[in-house]
Amino acid sequence: MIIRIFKTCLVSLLLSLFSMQPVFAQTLVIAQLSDRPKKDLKQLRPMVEYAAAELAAVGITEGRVKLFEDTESLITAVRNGDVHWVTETPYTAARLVHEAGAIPLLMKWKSGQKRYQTFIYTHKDSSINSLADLKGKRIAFEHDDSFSSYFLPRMVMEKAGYRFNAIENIGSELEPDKINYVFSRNEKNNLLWTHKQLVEAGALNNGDWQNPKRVPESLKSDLRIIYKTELYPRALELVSPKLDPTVSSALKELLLGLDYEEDRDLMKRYEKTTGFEEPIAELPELLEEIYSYRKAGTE
Amino acid sequence: MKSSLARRYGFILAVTTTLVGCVVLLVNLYFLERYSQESVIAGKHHISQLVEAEKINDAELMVSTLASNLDVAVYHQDFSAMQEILEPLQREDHITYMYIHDLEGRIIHDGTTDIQSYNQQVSSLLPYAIENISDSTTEQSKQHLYVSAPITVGNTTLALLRIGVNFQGVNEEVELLSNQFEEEANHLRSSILLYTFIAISILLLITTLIVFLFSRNLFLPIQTLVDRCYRYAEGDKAVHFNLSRNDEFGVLGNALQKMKESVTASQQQIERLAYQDPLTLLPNRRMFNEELEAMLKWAKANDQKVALLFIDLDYFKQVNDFAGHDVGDQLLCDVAERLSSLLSEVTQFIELPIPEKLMLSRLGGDEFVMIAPGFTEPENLSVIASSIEEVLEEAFEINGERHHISASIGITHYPEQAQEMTELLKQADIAMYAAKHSGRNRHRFYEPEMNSEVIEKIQITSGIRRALEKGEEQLFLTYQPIVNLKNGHIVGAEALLRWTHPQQGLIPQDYFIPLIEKTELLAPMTLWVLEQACHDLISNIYPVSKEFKLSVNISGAVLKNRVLCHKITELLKNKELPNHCLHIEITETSMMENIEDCYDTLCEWKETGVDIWIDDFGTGYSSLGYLHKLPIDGLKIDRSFVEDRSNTHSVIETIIALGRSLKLEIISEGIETEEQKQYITEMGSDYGQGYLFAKPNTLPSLIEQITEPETTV
Repeated sequence: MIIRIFKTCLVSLLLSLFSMQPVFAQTLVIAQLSDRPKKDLKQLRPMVEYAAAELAAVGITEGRVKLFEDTESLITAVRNGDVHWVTETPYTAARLVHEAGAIPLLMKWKSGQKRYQTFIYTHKDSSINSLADLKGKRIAFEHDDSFSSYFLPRMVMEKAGYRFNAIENIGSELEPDKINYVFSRNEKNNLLWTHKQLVEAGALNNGDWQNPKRVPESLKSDLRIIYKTELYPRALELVSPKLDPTVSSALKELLLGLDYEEDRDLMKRYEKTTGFEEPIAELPELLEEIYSYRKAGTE
Repeated sequence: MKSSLARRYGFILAVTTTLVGCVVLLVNLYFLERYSQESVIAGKHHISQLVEAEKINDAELMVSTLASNLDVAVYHQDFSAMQEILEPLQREDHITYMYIHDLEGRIIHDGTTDIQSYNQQVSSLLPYAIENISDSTTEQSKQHLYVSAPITVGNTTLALLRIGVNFQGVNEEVELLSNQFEEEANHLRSSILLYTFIAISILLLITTLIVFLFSRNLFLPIQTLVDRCYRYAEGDKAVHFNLSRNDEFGVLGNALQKMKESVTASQQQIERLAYQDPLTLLPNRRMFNEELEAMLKWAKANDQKVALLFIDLDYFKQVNDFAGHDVGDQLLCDVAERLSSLLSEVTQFIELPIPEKLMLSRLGGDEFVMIAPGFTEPENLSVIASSIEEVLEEAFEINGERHHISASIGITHYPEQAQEMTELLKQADIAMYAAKHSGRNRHRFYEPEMNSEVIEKIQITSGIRRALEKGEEQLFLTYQPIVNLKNGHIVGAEALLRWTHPQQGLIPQDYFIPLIEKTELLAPMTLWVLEQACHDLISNIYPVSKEFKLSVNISGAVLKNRVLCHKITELLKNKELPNHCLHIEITETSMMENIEDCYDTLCEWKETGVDIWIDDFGTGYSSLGYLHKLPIDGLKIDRSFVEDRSNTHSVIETIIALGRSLKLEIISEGIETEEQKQYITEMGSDYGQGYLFAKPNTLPSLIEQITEPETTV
């Protein structure tokens, strides 16, 4: 605690000495896309309030959480500077960077996972052995906002030349020359549908796969992975282009300064964060790739 | 502690109340127990029914609610949503299974994360047989409830939700609840029991108290009467028993009051009787004693004198004997009347400080006593005594006959003569005795010398009593021979009683016989003498002289005692003496005094073979008629005639002539000289007795005299 106070004081002192910028009273707003506002509020509020308190020296008086149901609103808010700080998946981050001018501040580790990838899997008794076998069959993705269980695998497979057909539900008519996909809404349904062979394949990220709570060993033994994607950052901390660079630097310093051993409670509550790291050099490239594929897909 | 009726009554009432209270308590307890038990059973049943209905209701509600929540999830085959909905049930231990199955019975979800029974036939997993898999029913076993509900979208049934509920826990809960209920009921019962017990105890206590108070109050009048009775018994004569009540106690009080009045009247009568002589109505000895005591106290306190006049009537005995007891009684009444009227006169001419206390009383028989408190001069007492003598000297006319008596009066007084009451009375008695012995019809003031005379006499009397107890040690007979004047032979002897007094030595019979004649010693003395004489005669004299005649003197007083006379007859009969060898001598005076009574006695005696002689003949006033009639055998001429023959010559001659004519033998006693012997022999007396022949002597001497051959004196 003393160390943290010392650090804060030091940062504030440096900022005030070197930037010599006027300090205005300001609310720090953190935002996220959310279909479960209650849970997400609970996850974000302690961190933003902590940060606001720590950043008092740079004019932050309070911290607030703002949740968005759709990406468009979030992009607008970030662009306008109504939202200062976003913590998101690489997909949303790619859009925010390109459409709202958001600046990636840090890469976030979640549940000990620094990077993640997507596994395409089937029932072990299934005749599906490769992505090619999925043509005319059904694959279950989680939902259209999911990076690891929709965007990433579809991007990878489309780049490989496969075509997709969205079906309303499992019983819907299938197109024989396309991979028919259906949203399972969550990883649980994704797993069970595949296990009960309601669909021929499912897509889950490696974090879920390795988590026995998400994929119990009893089920896992009945399943078989047929494809694994490249590794992608787990999550990203971005700031609005409107945010005072002083504040963003101070925020970056603050987050980097968090130590999982010392600040475990705070970090755990902040979406099970286990650490932060400086954005890797390939990050813009990755984001670009995502964004460009997305743009192609939507057009 | 005395056994109080109130306490007993109260106790019985209290016990009854307590018993009733206990019975009420027991009945109460019995019904309370029954009510409690039945309430508990009914309550438990009710609880279990209620809970069962509730649990079925709850289960059905739960299943239908879940089913309605599951529609979208089932429609979308959203396993996670189904699990989310079923998850809370999964955590419940009492949910034994949960199945979502399609209309063909294939399981869609079973609540587990991995849906282990997915696609299995639900009918094979259900614990009960099911006819139509698409029917939603509620089944119930002992511990389980099987509920199902359709999952519908719009009017289309997509699937069914089946849930098994194990309600053993509920049963246990019901059991627990029932036990709690029972426990509470028991607790309540205990409380009611305790409160009932306390209430009835308090009630009993109060009732007992009221009963005791009531009983005490009820019997209070009895206590009052009892207290008054005790007070009355202790001498409170003022106490009354009227309670002024109209109830039974009032009646009892009135009855007691009447009893008290009756008792008081009786008591007064008894007191009167106790203090009054019933014949003369004068104060009796008892009252005299109390009054004298009171007067002595008064005198002592007031430095006064008290005189006592002891009045004994002379010749009253003769009146009584000759004219009868009725006349005697009347005489006593008349005497009392005369003395009483004299008393009122006395107070007029003699000044006394408390004249009303001048009292006359009758001590008994012919003895009267007068108490004169506060007299000043002995002369006055003398005047009173003389007045009494005067008043009683006048003849009393009773039943037309005139009777003459007089009074011998003894006088003494406090404090000069005596201090004590008994001493005073004794002195007066002694003085009276002295008056009587100095010639009657006179009064004597007490003098100490009189006292010693009387004491001497008393000593003799008591000495005789002791002598009789010791027999021959002190008493013995001497024998004076009687001689045939014609030939000088001893023909008999007169037995004479002698008393060897331990201190005073030999005492002749003439001295003490008169003293004991009026006492109870007469009988034993007479019998002793006779017994002794008979013994000597039979055992000692008769063996040596068959013709010997022994004379024994019998006091005239004996003739007045019928019992003694009879005893003598019996004694003589028993001795079976030869005829004529025992002579009984009775003085002429005493024989004449009891002439009427003695005839039969003398005849009785004579029948036993004894001879009767008249002793001291010539001194009394024998009626020749009687003399003729009496069964007598001889006369003994009194010694006075023999000693002084100058004047009694003709008397002796007449007596001897009388004896001859009545064919009686004659003995002359007191012959001391030859001249007297000569003279008496010439006059014709058969026998002689006197010092000239022999002095009275002991039996051995007599035997010796008799056995001398041809004894001639």
